[in-house]
Amino acid sequence: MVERSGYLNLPLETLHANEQLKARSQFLRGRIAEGLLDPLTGAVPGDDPLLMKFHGIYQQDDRDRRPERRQRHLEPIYQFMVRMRIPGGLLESEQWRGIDSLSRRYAERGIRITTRQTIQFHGVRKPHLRALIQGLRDLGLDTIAACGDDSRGVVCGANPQLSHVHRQVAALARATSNRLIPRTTAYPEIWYRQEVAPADNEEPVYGDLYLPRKFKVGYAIPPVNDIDVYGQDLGFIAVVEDRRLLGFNVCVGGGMGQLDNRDDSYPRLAEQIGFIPPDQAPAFAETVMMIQRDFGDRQDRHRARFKYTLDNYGTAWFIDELASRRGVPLDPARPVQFEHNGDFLGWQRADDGQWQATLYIESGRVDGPLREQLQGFFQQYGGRVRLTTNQNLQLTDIGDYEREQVQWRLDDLDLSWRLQPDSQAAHTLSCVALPTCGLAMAEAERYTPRLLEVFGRLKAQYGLDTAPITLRLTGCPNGCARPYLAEIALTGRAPGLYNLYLGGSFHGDRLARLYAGNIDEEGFISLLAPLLERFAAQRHDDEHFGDFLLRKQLLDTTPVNLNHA
Amino acid sequence: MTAQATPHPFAEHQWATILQLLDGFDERQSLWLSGYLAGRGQIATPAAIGPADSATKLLIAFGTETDNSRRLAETLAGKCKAAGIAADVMDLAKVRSRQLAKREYLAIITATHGDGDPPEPTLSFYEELMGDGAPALDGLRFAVLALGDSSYERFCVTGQEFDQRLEALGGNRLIPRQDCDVDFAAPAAQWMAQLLEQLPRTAAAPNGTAVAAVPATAEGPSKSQPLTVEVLLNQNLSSPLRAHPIHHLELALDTPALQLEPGDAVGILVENPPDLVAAILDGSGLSGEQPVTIDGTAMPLVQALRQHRDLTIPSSRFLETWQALGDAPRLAEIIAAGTKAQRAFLKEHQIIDLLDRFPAHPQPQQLVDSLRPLQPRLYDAANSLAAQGDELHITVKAFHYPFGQRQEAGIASNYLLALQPGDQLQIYPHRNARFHLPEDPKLPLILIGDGTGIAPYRAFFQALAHAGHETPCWLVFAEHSFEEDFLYQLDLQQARDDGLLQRIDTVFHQDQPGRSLATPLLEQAGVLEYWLICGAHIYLCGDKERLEACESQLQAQLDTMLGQDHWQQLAKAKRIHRNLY
Repeated sequence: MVERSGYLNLPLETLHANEQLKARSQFLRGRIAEGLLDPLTGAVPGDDPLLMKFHGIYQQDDRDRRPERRQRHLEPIYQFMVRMRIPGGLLESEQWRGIDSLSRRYAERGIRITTRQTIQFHGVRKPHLRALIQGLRDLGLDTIAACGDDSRGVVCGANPQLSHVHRQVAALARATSNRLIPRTTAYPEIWYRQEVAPADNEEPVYGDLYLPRKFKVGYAIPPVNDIDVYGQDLGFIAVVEDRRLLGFNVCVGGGMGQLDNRDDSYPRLAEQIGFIPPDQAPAFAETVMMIQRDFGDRQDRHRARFKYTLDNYGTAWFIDELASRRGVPLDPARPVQFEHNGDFLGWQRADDGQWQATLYIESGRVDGPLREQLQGFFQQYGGRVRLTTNQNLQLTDIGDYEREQVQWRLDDLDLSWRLQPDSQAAHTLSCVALPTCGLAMAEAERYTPRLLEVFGRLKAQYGLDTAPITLRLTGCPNGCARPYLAEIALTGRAPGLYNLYLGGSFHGDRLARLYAGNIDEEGFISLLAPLLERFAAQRHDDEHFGDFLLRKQLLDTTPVNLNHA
Repeated sequence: MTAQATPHPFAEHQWATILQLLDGFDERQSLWLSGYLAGRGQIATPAAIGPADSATKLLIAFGTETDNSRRLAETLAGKCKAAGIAADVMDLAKVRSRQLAKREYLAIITATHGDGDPPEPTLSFYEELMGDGAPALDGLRFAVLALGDSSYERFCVTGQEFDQRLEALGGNRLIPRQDCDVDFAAPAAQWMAQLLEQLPRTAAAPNGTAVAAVPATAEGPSKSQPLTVEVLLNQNLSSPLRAHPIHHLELALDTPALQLEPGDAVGILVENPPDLVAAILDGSGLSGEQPVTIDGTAMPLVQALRQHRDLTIPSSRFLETWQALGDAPRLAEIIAAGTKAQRAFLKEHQIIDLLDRFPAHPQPQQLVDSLRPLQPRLYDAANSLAAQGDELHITVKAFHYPFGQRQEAGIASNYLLALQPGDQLQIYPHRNARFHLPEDPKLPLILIGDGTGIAPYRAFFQALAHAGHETPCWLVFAEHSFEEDFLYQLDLQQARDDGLLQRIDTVFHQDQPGRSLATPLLEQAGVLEYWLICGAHIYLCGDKERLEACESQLQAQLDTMLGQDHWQQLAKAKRIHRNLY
């Protein structure tokens, strides 16, 4: 039986070291400002890198070069990943241009669109951090809480057939993000060097321990589940009737991360628990976050995500707790229906007459020739931009009269193939992994082109070229590219070795299960070939691969090689 | 057993107080305190192998990426201490396989990373130990604790490889290897208990060991009787793209130890490049096999040219010999024109140019006698022999210079940069008393260095840390770029962790053009003044021109601030130390 008094009542020294660090940090200040000026290292010394995550900045190093550096008596090449907060992924075209120019000045490897609908820079060196963040400020952007134990960037799906609903939901996503971010003035002090008189209570909602772990909120507009709403800590599913937003079904407790060596660590789907009217959503999110603040595990970080809090205490308890904090019980959830979790690439006309074009971006990486092509394109583009959670780039708000011209420019710049790419690539996600991610055990982004080629050949062998199958690749089990919701996923174990997961659904409402452990590319091919062969021969019309595996009970009859057997 | 029977190093009243305190503790508190004291002991013990009784001490070496092995190593050290067993803990990242040959007892605790790879920081040790050059370990008794994750096929492989390799090199296993899965606590504790039973107790209290003095021998190696040493490592420190790379050389020192203080240098007997020797032989029509005599020692001409004669800079004696040998009216003219004209002429010609312009056919001994002796070159010791007596480190920058229409490579630096591990070279100690540390270790040090000028400061830091001093040091260092050319960055970070390096300013010309060595000091003139009031000594080391420019700027500033002749007075008080080249 779990003690219900909450971890916040326990003595600080019995909590996880990160909790003690947060408590000592003077509301996320630590000694970051001094560390930025330390000339002896390109890193920020001590524990401050953990605090910098709350500022959206992740200290990394080029892992490929570590051994050579040590031999040369040099520290690793420390560098920083800087992640923006872009609620709903919406940008003006001037903002995109500004981001592009900042990336040229201060970052390496271009711009990366992430699976949470934002942009991150890689390879930023310590002396450039302040200038970069001030540059973002001048574009009306910040990086607050893009990482860390707090409410991460709020994602928001889209549905061009309900464009006014999307506008309404996107505004709520932004309001939710603004409401949930930390209030500490450490951010303007450190990064803008502003003298701000600190408030009496710097964090009225979070308190000085912030959350036990990250907390992810997302909004989806059916039938498109592009944001994978069941993978969010807190998901809002728009309920629309007669083209009007009635409110949201709320679902709680989704999360991807797991550890391969712990049995009590697992990915989990969010459960739908009820319905709320639209305007209540931001306050509702705050209430749920505060329950997690009070009851989330603060001793065992691997069990600190909201999904485990729900499993520890039970969903019924949570619904009671929620009702007592809100003063009213939840209304029952309404029926909703999802169809897919990918992006529709190419041109789409919204119901307000405006056009949008979704461009395929492999692994979300805008670098090299692509960056130059897009820079050229944006020189004469007046519409807006939306980043998608499938790491693609959407050009939106294009008037009827402009459409043709936009198409010509895309043709001229050799960008138009990205409107109709290979359908497999459009259903493939990968995380960054090596060489900069400290958690990666295997390649992901750098291996994606090769994996797509291998998988493409395999599909072609069985005449499945045009059948989209969600394929996701991560360098570790933590789940940045939401692998456990894919029909096929590989999660890294060691260089060249992956765990193979199969059987998620095409629209992201079912978890994939471990099919084989520690396989290499050859193993991947030899395990998938017979399954694809049967799929090609025996599938129903429009049946998806994950559903087929389940119907044919192909996942149950195969012995599973558990990693922690 | 009564408490009084336990031998202890305390005065009676201290012991009574300790017993009184201990009686009041419950089991948990006692356990915590024992861990705390063991941990304190670890921190206080310098990581380098102690000079006196290191052979019989247990070396606990760990290889880790996640710190599990480190924690186990520290637990084992605590248990050893409690049992009266002398032990050192070292990261395998810092262990050289050669050091194992001097050890009697070794415990390795190592993880295996991913599917069978050694933990990344231990790679260089791993390669050394597995390689052909690994030492014989006949006297070594060892035990291995292997950590791993059985979900990988190649589970605990690194521990297994070390275990087999140590045996193959002649070592004897104290207890069988223990392989542990992710739940390693219980098997690790069992392994430790078994191991403790096999280790000898030292009767004396751990802190009572005396530091053995370095034997003072009057007749050490000298310029005329140099010491032959082997190259262990020749590592480029600077950017691989640099035209003038800077290398770190490690040389093996066997007994007897060299007499070298931090600040001292070594003379290195360098050799001419073989292609230059060949060109000189061709130019004078000689084969190289003929015997010649140098300082009473007979040797083939080729050896004399390679090792004993300067083949670059001609002397006036060379001119005279060449003029006497042949019919060269121009040479006669120059000789007749007096020393000034001769010097000007010699400046524009190297030996090879003269051979080309004034062909002659000397006898082998004539050629040798006309050339200047090849001078040894001095390089500052970059490490402290007190901290690590079996290696000597030097820092070498490639030197090239334009001569007429061509680029010439500096003889010494290019000889040193081309050395391979296993090669031998000859050295002797060179005392540089004016660049030694002040007698009083409390006096602050302002260390100003440019490029390879960092080398003696590295020796300073090592010596001070080894002696347990906390001398306040302020380093001002200039190089090309932060990311690629921050020479000995990790060592400097260690110096800061040791409490020595209290201020550091860097000037990287590529990152921040327009700044010079003096800039940070002038910007912080108030701090500089304060340090000088506290009795700071100023050290200047590196490129002569740049350091002299820095010194004159500092002098001007301080004289303005603190009165005329202030700098002169500091110099007179021997508080300014120069090592310029």
